[in-house]
Amino acid sequence: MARHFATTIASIATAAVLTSTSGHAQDSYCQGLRARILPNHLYAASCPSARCLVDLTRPGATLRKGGSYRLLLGIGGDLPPQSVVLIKAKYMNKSAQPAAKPPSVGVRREQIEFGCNPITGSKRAEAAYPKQGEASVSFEGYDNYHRLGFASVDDRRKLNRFHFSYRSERGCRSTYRNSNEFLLHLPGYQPGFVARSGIRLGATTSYAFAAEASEYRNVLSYNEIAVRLTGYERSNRVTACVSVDVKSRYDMLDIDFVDLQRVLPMGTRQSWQVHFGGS
Amino acid sequence: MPNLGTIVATVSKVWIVPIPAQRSDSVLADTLRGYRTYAVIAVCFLVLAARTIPGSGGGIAAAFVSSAAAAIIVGVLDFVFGARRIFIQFSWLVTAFVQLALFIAIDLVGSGLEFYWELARETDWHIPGLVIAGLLTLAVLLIRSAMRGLLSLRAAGQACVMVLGSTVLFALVLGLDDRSLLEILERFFGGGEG
Repeated sequence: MARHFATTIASIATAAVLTSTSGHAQDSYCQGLRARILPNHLYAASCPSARCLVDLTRPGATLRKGGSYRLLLGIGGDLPPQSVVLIKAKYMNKSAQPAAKPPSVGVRREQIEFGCNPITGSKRAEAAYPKQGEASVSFEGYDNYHRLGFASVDDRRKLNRFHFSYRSERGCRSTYRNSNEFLLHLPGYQPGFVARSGIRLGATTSYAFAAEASEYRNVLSYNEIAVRLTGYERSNRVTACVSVDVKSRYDMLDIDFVDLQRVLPMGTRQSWQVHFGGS
Repeated sequence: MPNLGTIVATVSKVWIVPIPAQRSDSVLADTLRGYRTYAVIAVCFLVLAARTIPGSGGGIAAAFVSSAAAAIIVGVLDFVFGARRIFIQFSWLVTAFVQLALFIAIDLVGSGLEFYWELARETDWHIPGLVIAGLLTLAVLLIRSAMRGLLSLRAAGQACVMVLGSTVLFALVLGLDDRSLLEILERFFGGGEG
């Protein structure tokens, strides 16, 4: 277990986690284990009980391959009353050879109670999308949508449903506003209008998919990619918790958590690497 | 090799033509002849670009079929109402071409704007762009007619009908998802390889 980085988020002293939640049943993990969770610590739990909780920030912590786990992150710092957290999970095997094309991206948004209507600004709950499981979009469609704003009809429609607007301190705000945060590689690369037009008209392909883009070669090593949107509502303290199901059939998981209300400079995300071993 | 100015001037010329006194007006027939095939191909290509060609999977076939169907429908409308000179002084094909080109430009610019994205999310991905492109096309059509001294109440009515017709057609073609298109194809041509 290696923790790549977290230090820019202030570590608030060990206040117990008093909240999560977006109101869906799966965050029973955050509710049930809140007294145990520390800010900026990543945990795994195989059941919503303290005996099942593993602190993954401990050196050498490894999860059992094939087990069923939910990861929990304690979010510290001066938090807004509620926020949306983007979770990007990339699974891979240690001996994986780069594939010819990247895997599709599974997207899912949990139920959010603090959504809003962007036209009227009124509050409305956003149901989970899709109702069960996850919606699959092509990697190229996912990347083009968040980098360029367009994708093929099916992918674009799914991603329009995946994103949503939520109430923030600055009014009704859409997750699409942070579209760069959703990118899985080359987040700093943004083609100009002429290049975008060329890509749209099929005259050229994006540099993001070019063979010489080294980050793209990393993407080809991923076995599976899952992107989740979930939320937290702070109650009266400065710490919150979000949780996400993970698959343990691969050797390794790279997982990024991005609080969309407190977006940090690129390279200073909370990124973790989780290893699965044994059986 | 014609330059861009020549192309635009030619497109403008065949887009709006005075309705002659007789159906057999040879000048008009010469003007219209020959451009229709190229215009059908251009409309087909623009529908493909508007939908954005999917990277892989059965969506490619569906995208090509929907683009070809849209271009053929517009081509037939143009032939029926234009070549036979029933009542219309505008070219349906050029109207469709201009509206699609505007849609792509608007979508390229607008998709980076949160407000445009929110409208698209509340309706469907192509609706805001198509409505704005339709209104702009209508405006250009009427202004261009007025500049050539051909604007009348009747002409304005024709322009509205054409733009509305194109908008409905493209709303259907761009709105159909790949799976629905494939299901329609399977219904018409059997199960295919799947």
